[in-house]
Amino acid sequence: MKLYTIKVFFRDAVNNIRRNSVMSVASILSVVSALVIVGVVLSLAININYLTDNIEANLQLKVYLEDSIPSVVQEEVYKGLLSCEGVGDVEYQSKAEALQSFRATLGEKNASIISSYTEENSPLPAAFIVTFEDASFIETAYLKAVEMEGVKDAVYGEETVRRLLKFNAFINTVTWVMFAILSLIAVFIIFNTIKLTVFSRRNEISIMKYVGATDWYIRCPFLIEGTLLGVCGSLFSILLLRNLYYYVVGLIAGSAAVLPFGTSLAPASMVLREISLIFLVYGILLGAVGSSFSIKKFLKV
Amino acid sequence: MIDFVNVSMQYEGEEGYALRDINLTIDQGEFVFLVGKSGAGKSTFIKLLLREMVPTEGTITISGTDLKEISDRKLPYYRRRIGVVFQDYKLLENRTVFDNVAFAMEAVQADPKNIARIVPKILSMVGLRDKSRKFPETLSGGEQQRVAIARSIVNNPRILICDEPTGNLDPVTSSGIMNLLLDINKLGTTVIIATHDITMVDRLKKRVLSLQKGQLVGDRVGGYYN
Repeated sequence: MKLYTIKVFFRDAVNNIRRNSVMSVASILSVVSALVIVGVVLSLAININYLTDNIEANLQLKVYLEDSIPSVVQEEVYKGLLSCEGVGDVEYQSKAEALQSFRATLGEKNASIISSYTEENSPLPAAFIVTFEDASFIETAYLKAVEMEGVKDAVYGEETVRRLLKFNAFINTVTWVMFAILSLIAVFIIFNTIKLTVFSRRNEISIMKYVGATDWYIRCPFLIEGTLLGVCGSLFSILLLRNLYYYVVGLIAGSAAVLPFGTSLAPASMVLREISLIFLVYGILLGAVGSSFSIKKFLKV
Repeated sequence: MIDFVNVSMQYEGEEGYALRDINLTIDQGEFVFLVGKSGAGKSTFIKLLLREMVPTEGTITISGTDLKEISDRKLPYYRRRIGVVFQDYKLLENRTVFDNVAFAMEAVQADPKNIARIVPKILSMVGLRDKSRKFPETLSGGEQQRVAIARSIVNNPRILICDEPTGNLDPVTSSGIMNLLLDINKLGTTVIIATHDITMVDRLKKRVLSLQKGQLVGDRVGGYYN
């Protein structure tokens, strides 16, 4: 295909968009709304995946000790934990250290809640923090630990992970359903926009036919028009979502830790890179599919 | 060049024939009037030539090619050999005179350099060189028809078909348009004109094909309408 012909196609497509500006804006808005909603759900899904991975990697067993436990018993517990299968390291955390760590988790703003406690009267129990070389042994170690003498309780994040995974699956389903419904709406609106363009250009099309333009030559500008609408929609939604994501990241970073285990949101660059690529391809597809349907139905060449 | 052999055309769902048993030959470079009242079959004749449809019976061949044998994919290439002019001009209002003519060349993917070279030439030929930047609505009817003629011949077709080209024009303007068509014919293009314009047909004394109720009732060179 000649470069000039491609230029003519793009010129015609852009002119069409300008001529049907109201419908074109409606098409772009429908793609934007579809993509932004999908994008919000998608970034939630990406974050949940990110969190799950993070939590699994940092999974640890916390074995709380009874107060005023004799050092012999404490030593026994330590040895018992070390001998468990899959264990990498066992670290002791004194009552004072536990308080310090909690203070750090709360952050400066909220630390005042526990300001009446000092290292001497820490209400938190001393504990052994067990990290694993293989996280699959965590449950066996947990069962063993709770039976030990001098152990008050033991906790690990398994329940959180399980819940997260369940939530993740739910979010995935929601994403797909929304994806499908919103895609249909966007395709339908683009379909109608192209229908209007075909109608407004019927005179031109008939002249093209009479002077011997080939079918694909007549169809191409309409296909490009639809695709451009899709691309515009996806670019706008990437921009919108980018700002939204940075806003949310800022909001969460500025408040008390609402996320479990000191994990953070997935980095914006990672989320946006994934979403941008998906959106661009998706926008092109929406536009191309919408206009193809319309061309097939209304453009008798 | 153009051969109609036993050509009949009957539209689907209609009892009578739009064209009935037409046999004729038009040679390369001829200038032919196609006359007849409304419903006589002139439009059907033109549609068959443009291969908008194929006859229900008989064959139409142009330079040895049977129009029935042209596939949909090859149809555009056939149409490039034919220019068409309509009574209502069919110009694109949002394009300048130059762009209206260039449009026909763009549609067949002509080289932009050729477009820039040929369009002004053709506009000079139809007498509109100085109006190339104007929009159709600012032109008179005769000028608009000249733009339409320029567009129809810019791709250098071998046959030019005109459907009532002077139907909307006053006698003086019509005469100018007809002279232009004669000039085009002198360059070797076969010109076929469907018309109601009795005075014009009588004045020019060219070959006249008369249609009546779908049948060819007259075919005389230098013949008169009546």
